Amino acid sequence: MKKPIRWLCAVLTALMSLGCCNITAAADELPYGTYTYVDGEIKNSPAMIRSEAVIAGTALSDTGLKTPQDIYVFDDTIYIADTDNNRILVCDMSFQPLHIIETVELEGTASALSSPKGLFVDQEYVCIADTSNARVLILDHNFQVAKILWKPKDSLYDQNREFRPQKVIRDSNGYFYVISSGTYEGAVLYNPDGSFNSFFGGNKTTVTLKVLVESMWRKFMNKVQLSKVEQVIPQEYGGFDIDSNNFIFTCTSNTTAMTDQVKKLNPLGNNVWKTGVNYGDTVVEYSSKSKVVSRFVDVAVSSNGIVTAVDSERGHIFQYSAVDGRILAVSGNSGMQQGTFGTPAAVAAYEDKLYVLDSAKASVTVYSYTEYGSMVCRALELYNDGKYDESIELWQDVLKRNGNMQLAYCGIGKGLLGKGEYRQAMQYFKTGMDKEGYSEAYALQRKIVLRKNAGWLFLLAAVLVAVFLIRGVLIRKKDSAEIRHYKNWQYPFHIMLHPGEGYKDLHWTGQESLLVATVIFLIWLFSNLLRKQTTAFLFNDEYAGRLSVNIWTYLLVLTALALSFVVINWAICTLFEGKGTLKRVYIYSAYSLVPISIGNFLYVVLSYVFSLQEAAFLSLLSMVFTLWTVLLLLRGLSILHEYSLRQVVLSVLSTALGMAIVVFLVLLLVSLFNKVASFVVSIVNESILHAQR
Amino acid sequence: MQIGKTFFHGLAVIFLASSLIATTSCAGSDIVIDESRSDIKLESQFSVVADRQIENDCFGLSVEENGAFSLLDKSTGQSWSSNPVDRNQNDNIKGIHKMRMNSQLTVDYIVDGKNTKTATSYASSTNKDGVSVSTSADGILVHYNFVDEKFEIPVLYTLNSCGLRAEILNDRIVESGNNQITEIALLPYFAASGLNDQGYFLVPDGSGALIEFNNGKSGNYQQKIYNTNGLMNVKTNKTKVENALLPVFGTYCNNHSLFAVIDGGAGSSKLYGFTSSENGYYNRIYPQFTYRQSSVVSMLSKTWSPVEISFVSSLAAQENFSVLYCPLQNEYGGYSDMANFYRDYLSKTTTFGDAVSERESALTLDFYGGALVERNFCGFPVTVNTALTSFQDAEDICQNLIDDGVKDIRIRYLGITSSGLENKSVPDGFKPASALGGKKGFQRLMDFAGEKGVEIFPDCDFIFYQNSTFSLLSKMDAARDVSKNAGIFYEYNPSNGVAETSDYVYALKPSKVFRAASDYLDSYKKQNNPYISFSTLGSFLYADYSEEIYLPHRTKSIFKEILRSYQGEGFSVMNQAPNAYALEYTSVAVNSPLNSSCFDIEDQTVPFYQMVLHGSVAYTTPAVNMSCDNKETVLKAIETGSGLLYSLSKADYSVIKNDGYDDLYCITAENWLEEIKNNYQKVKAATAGTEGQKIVSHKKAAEGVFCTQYENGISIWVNYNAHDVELDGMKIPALDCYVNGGAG
Repeated sequence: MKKPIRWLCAVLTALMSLGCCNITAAADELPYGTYTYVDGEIKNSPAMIRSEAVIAGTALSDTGLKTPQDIYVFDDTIYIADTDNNRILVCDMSFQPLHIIETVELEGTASALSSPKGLFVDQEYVCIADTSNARVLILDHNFQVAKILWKPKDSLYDQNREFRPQKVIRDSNGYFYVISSGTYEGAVLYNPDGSFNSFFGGNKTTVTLKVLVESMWRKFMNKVQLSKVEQVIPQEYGGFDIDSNNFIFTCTSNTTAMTDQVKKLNPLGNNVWKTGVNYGDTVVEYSSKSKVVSRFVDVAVSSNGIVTAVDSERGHIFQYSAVDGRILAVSGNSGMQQGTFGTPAAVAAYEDKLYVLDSAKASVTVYSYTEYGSMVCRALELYNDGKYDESIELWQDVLKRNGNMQLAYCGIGKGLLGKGEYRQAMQYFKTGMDKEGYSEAYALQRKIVLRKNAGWLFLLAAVLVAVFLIRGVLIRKKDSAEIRHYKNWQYPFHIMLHPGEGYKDLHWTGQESLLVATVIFLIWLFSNLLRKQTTAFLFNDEYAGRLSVNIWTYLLVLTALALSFVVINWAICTLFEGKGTLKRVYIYSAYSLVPISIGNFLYVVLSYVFSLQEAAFLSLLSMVFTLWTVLLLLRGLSILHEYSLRQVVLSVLSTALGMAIVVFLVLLLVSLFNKVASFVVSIVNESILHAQR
Repeated sequence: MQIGKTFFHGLAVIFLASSLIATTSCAGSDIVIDESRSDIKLESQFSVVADRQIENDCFGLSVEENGAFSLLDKSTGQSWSSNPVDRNQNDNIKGIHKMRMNSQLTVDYIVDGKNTKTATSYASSTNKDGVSVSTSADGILVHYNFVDEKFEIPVLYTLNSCGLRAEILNDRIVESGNNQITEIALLPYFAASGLNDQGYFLVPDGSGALIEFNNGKSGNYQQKIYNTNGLMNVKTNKTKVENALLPVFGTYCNNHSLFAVIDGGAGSSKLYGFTSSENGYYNRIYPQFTYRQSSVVSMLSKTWSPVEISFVSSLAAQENFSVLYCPLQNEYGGYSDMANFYRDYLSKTTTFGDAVSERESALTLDFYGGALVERNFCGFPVTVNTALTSFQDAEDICQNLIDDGVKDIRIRYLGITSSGLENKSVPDGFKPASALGGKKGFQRLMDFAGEKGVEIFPDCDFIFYQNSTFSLLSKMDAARDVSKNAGIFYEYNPSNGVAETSDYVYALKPSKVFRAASDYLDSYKKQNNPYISFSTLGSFLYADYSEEIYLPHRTKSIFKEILRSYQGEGFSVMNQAPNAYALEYTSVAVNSPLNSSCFDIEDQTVPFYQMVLHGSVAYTTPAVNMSCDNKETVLKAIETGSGLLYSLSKADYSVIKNDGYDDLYCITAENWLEEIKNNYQKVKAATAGTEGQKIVSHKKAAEGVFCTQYENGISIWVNYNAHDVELDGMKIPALDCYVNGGAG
């Protein structure tokens, strides 16, 4: 008695249990873990960066740093915006102080900085966002004022809005971009001479169905409710950086949205990275009713093609490939260890190191790439240049170290594709979960196979045609006027091929069989299951071909839905003078499931043969069989209840409505039950605890 | 029908009876362990000179009326005081800092079962004339009467050949009121250093770390010795820290070392360290002992708002809390002297070091045996134990390595049972999975191993489990925390540190662990394989507050007894980063930490653990292929005298990629064989001549350059810089090592 139950439990728990290697798995030696996301699933990864040194503010200056907000490194010089001390610190690469900018000379008098929050340095200028003075100072490398960017007096800029410059960058053509807090139109763009130009790259609110629905709901909400709902205004940028091709990378921090937090804008202001993707942590977490999401306070792009963004909420450092925004690794953490943060405020990338500024700990952490990280950078460089062939070996080295690196599989796949080794490329794409790549490789491989065996295929086709012709000739000789008597198990097929007369014959002869109907129903369930799990990789929507819910729950739900349809239909039709009994409604409905079952089986088989280019055919096939089933069902019910077409359609619609009500009631009951159960459980727990004291 | 009915009745009776028997057999333990054997302490040795003054050949102790004392090291003339000598000159220290600065004890207690308060011996005892000092042949007894709080704590000071022992006599602690003592901090300002002192504290964080005096870093250091209870019932864990494996700490002040060993109550102690940034003047380090475990649980009150209620253990700590403070001779300087001393101490008080270990540079391989993988069979999911490395595969890999010159190989075989790498249930006998080759396959592997000199250590874990084999409900056998909840250990989401509540294990009750281990011993003895590995027995300590309470001390005795019994049967035991109490029974300390937790307050990581172990216990690095920088790990292995460890499986990682084993991302064996052979030869060549030798000194010679010196004069310099370094006429190549043999 124990064994099958054990097996059952094992099966049930298998889906829930992850590999639980508590202590035997060797841990990486850094004080923070590193992980990555593969299709939204979190996976462990070796560290790409590690902290080399932590420079305390007191090492930079005697008074230390006070809530520093920005850091920039250029030409072997480090610039730190020591915000609450109202100054900029300038140091060399070993953090020896070189210069302190506290005041600038303006028309003969010294003008003090006030809460400078942004920095940018290039060949010609040192740009300082002097926030509380509502100006951006453009200094030359002798720290003399060259230009000042003030609040635009243009009508385009809302004059009621204060100008509070937070961050600034300058492109290779001399244009200045300034982020001012509270400005939703994007970054404020200034001409090289310092005059206002326009806005650049505002976060657009795309009008989607969700947005329309939400705006409709808003009409019904009162003030209190409105204040709690997410605002649908475009969010302002938290930080940005520019690369050598004038692409601007931006990040958004003050939002609870979980998509498009980091963007790559081309010179026209359009996002070239994939939209609708979550660039932060995917975990859904709530803290005292508000959502906890990744808040990206700054972003930096380095010359090796990696974009680094810093999340102040959880102290994580995200690294993406600059070309397409694919997540490479997430490191760091908040904490009191080397390489962890109190509140990360800014990041700067220079040569092959990263400098992260921690405003709470008032320190700068210097990160360098690990052995593994350097490998990834080298492979990525070749990959981004399109040199897939040469990148194969480098990606193999990366895979050796990190079997979770999806990009490596795709990189190798692309390389093999170029070399013509389609079979192997398919294998890599499949392991890397890349459907497009797999489809491409598969299509090419299929072409070759077909071409090689074209002769055999033509022969096979010819034989099949011949067989059909012969059969047709032979059958024609039979007397078609004979009344066909079918066995009860042949009726479903007869019905499928002749919907019109099929059901009539069944109704007339009364040969319906409960057994046959149940068998068909079970086959339908099985076909659904098969379609969910064994569809080929290309067309399988489930992750790794595995049903994300418990398999028995899935089957149970399907059965419950089907049976409830039968019962409710019978109930409604009885009310409306339908002639069908419960048993007959069940049997007639079950018989109509044959096409869709066949459709599912065909779908599974064909999914192994088609490539993504033929996806339309597959969905068409699926649609045809589904429609076939619906028509059969309608026909069967109309004959059973003796309804006209209009009546049967109405009855089916009311059945659907009835089912919806039943589902709603069930869910309500279940949730009520849960609440009561958890209440009872907590009472029991607490009384036990009380008893023990 | 009648027969059927009777039949079912009978079944029901049998079922009930067997479950009753099963459950009753769980209650009550019949384990008798000689606990007196668990903690061996150095004998007291001194003579009474005057009232409140004792001395022996090396040390002298004089205690004042108010409880403060000073320890004199006769050989150096250095004296160490319980409280800073210049404390009365510092008017700037006020309030709580002033009270602590003058105290020898700080006590946390619970008032009326609700609030926690702290009392210092200065404010509550000394200032209220509650201190009485008496001298006898047993030592100097300082009796602290906390007048208002209504409890009394006696502390006994004695001298021995190594230094001073301060012992809190737990059995004579009196609590006459409603207050219950939870924590006692011992000598919080002993040997405190000031703003003008140079030196550092040694803390046993991971491999060991140094906290320099007056380093200006804020925050404090705190760490539980042995990480008792670990993350039991902890729902959020964001940090990744190393454990404190040795119950020691030390201070190196102005070239004088004072080393401390917690030799009583280590499993219930927590180490605290502060630099002068805390109170502005003094750096200090001290242990805090848990007298009564307490925890806080949130419950709903009448008004539906949650109220926090404290649970306190009904049983207080049974063993006396004691710390042995030893002033050391300055031979090699700082932590090197401390390591040498601690090694001697362990040899004197335990059987540690009786056997000389000579296979330090042997290659250790972690083979992953089987893993539970989900496979689809016509749409139905089936969990199968897939062989990652079958016994035949293990043979092949070893043969491959041996053919290319790798002489000594040790294998730790993980996941050898039919539940693969998961801790499904506590093993009740040696049952190698059939997917790997079963008993026959294992026998064949052992024959091969015996022939080629390969040591095979099959791993087993008696502590963590998901389903109990002892009783019906898995929860019933779990160790419980103070609030009587079953102790659950979770896996945590790497992005936000929140526990994954669907994935957890329990820790087995210590009495059951003993029984499981004994049964396993009987079964495993028949294999004639003299090697065995425990991944948790020597490294995880916990308390059990079920019906029969097992405090950490008692659990420790049980685990020591288990290890002793295995060693007694002739087994060579491999433990994973073993705690101090397991060292004497360990032949190989696998996966020993090379780093500390790198807390912000710490300044440098030192290989203290390795320095103590070399020559007595062989040890390995953490898995080299799992680290982010393999070259550096190999260099660290050379620097610390560790053997290399690689985690491997014959099957490609992609086989288990989607089954939740994503932390094994680099175990595919054939990717590493080449590198293993090269690194093995490299480490063997560099550490030739140091087998079985003790490490006498380790120091940072220059930025990124470290020097390890062995007993027989061999010195190994390791350079982690990207450029060559010239030092004392030697040229140490970049990212490489330089061996200087015999040039003391």
